[in-house]
Amino acid sequence: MTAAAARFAVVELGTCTVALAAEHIAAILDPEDVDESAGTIIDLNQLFGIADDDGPARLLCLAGAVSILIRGRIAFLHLDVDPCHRPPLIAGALRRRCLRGIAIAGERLIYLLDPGALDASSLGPPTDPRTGSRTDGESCCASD
Amino acid sequence: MLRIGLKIGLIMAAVLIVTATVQLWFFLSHQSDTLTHALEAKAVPLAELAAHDLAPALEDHDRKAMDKSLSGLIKDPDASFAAVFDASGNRVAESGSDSLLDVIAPRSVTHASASFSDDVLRVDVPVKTQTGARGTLVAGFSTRALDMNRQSMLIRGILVSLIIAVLGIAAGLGYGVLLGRRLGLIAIESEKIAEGDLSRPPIQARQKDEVGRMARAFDRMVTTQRELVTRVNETVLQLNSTGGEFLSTAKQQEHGATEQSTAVEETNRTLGSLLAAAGDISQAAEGVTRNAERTQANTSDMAQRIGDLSRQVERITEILELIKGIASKSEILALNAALEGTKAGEAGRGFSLVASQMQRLAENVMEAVADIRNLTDSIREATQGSVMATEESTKLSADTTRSAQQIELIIGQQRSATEQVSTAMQDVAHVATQTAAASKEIVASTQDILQLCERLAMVVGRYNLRAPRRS
Repeated sequence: MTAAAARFAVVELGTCTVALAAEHIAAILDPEDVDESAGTIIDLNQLFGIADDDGPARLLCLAGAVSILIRGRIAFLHLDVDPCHRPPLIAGALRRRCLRGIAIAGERLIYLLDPGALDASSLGPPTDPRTGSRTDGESCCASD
Repeated sequence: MLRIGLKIGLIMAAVLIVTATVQLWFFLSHQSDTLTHALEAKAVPLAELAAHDLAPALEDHDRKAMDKSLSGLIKDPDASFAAVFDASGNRVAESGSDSLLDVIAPRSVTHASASFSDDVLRVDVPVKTQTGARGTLVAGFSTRALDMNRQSMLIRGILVSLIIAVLGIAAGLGYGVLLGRRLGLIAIESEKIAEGDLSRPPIQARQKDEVGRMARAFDRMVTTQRELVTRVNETVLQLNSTGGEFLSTAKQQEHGATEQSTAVEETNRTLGSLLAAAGDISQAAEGVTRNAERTQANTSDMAQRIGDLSRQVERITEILELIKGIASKSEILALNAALEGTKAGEAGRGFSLVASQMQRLAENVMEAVADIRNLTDSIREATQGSVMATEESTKLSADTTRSAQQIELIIGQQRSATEQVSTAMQDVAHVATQTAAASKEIVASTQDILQLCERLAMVVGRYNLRAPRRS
């Protein structure tokens, strides 16, 4: 991979920081105002198994029929990210290349999402919201 | 002083002498008449018989025959004279004492008649002949023999009376002495008993007369008196012992009554203090009641204000929710603005900065709302705690009010009861004082009784109560 500079929507999900290219975001909505046009909603906190939800709930509507539900602070930053690899930590549910990789911005470790891979058909069954357990520990990188 | 036996003997002798004298007088007075009648009863038939013998001689004027008949008549020892008179009153025959014949005068009688004159019984008897010649026989009978007989009877009566009197005196004296001896024995025993000797043997009289009955009654009286005195002695001893115990008890009672009186007075003073304390407690209870009621009113007011505060907090919470919603919308708008600015590239950079500031501002607002929310939650919790505390305080105030009212009621009842007890204790004090005085009087009376017991014991001690000696 090569380093690329772009505008990202950086979302702080508890101890994790997730970044998504701003160009893929169509709009940011309040989940209470969303109807069926939002399409498939993917709970990112649940996807990452983060129970902390100290931030307000926001719905990031992506191009297409997928929306991402997040509970955390959103900031638009210009990042020079260098996706390195796909560590085993984020394997499992993200093994189908929904995660472009991990970037290092200063002292922070940022997970870069691949919006194109985020569709309902490719994510498979979501994380069980009751138990929060993932299906397996297979590494995304290893699957590549 | 004459003894009773001599008195009885003299009385009996006097009675007998009087009786004999009366009897003698009665006998003599009646015997004179009896002798007179007897002389008359003898003289009249004798004269009639002589008159019958004289009738033929008088008819024949036979002087000798008439003298012979008169001599036969005059032979009677009591006859003194006899004379025959014819119908003309001439004395035709006579016999006997001349001195008496000289004073005889004929009487014309149709039947025999007798009369006394100068100690001479004169009998006039008509002499009837066959031819009808009549005459009168006058015969005189002397009462000298009668007088001699009367004197003899008198002497014999006197002698008999004297003998009777002597015998009566002797019998009276004897019976009197015997009676006096029996009475003397009773008198001696009575004197011994009077001296206190009840150990004398019984008289044991066997006679059935009044003295015997009196002696037996005396024995019974002595026995009864001995039992009575013995019982009195035992009673005195028992009374003395009981009196001593009673005196001890009475003194203890007197001491107890005095202590009781003192205790009652102390109790009365304590009751007075208790009444005063009850009054103070009642006033304090009234103050507590007023304060509790005031506290209850204040607590109710506080509860109402806390309710108002709670409602205000709720209202603030609602407003905070509204502000939060607005801030959230503002943040979303800022995010979308920032997104659009980002999409616009370099041209939207300033716009993105403004959007970022707006987003930060919205976030600050939301943080402030969160802080205020925390504060309102704290206020709500504090309010709820205050409400609970106020409710508890209200309940406590109500309980305090009820308790104070109950205390006031109880204190009032206690005060009333204490006043009743005080009144009763005053009566008790009065009674205790009277009891103490009565106890003193009982002690004094008991001491008097003991003194009387001692005197009675001295009196009873004079009696000798040993078993009676065998006579």
